[in-house]
Amino acid sequence: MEITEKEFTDIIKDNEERLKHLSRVYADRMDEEQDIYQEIAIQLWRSLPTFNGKANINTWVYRLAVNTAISFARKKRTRQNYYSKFKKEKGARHNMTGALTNASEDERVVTLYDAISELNPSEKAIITMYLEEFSYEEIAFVTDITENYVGVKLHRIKNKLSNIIEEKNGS
Amino acid sequence: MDLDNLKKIWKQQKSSNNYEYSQSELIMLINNKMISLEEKVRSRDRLEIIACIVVIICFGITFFTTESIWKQVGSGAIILSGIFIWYKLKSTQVQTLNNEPSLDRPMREYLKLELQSIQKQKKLLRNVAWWYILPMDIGLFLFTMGFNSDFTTKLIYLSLVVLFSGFVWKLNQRAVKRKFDPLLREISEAIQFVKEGSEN
Repeated sequence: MEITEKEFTDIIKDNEERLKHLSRVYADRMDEEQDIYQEIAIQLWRSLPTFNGKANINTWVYRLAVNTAISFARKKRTRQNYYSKFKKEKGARHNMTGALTNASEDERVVTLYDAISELNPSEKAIITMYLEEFSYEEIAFVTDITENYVGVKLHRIKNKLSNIIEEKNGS
Repeated sequence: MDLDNLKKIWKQQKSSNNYEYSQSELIMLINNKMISLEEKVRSRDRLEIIACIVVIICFGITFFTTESIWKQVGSGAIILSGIFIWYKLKSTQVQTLNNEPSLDRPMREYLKLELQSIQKQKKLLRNVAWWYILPMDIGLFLFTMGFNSDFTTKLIYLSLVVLFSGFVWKLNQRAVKRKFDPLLREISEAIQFVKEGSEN
């Protein structure tokens, strides 16, 4: 499939918010978020000619983006935690329940990202797609699990996130 | 915890204004990144070839000019080791590049290929003593035996070589333990998580 620069940037524009959120989920450090986003754009530019039109373009873009983010995180792996650093810089006290119920919006978002950062790469992809309101069918397309199991997996991830939050809350 | 509440929080997040690209900026950025990547690969290849040529020239001269049989055999062994190490690194690079999985595969399939790639890299580091340290050390040992110095000096020199080799080996094993093992665990866990619920 031939693709023009205009078509490419239109696709990026349509998916910009989702791709930025995904980059943030897979970033280990603050400066990595932008790098992951750029890498996704590059890989998309390279891979778009192979798109056969069988799937929805936005879901296909997301599948490619998830794999790119996983691959990037592997290559540039560091032990420093992105949002831990963010919090340290802000000097905020880490209290999950407070963050999810009373704290300002920004802090609640940071808290949510912080909890997601403790999940494994598959769990991150599934929960992020759920939060981005992809359908079960689309989550199945990206991850290669059956549609029936998406709900089961989401339930497990929800429990895991709950435990992470409680654990952090207790410490 | 209510997942719908999480969705609400997620929707409320503000878009990152730190990086916004116009159409032309994005295209320029992609072009620049691709060019810089190609340059990096080219300069790495150039460096590897130069290092190999330097080893061949330095020890090649000794090979043809020295009267010591120890030094001659040692030089030959070092040259062969250098070529072997270069070949090993090059073939691994080519293999990795050829087996690079296409990014539009389903995540589960992609994770499996990532796992295989990490396992290969780990194996290369685990076995560094056999394909990198040992061949070079054998050459250096033979070369040292041809020195015009007393046994104690030779022993001191060889001890330093062994110590340095040990340090290189330790560094590689530390990388395996600190970087590769946790990564392998994480990817395996991720595969395991999506394995149940997939059709095959």
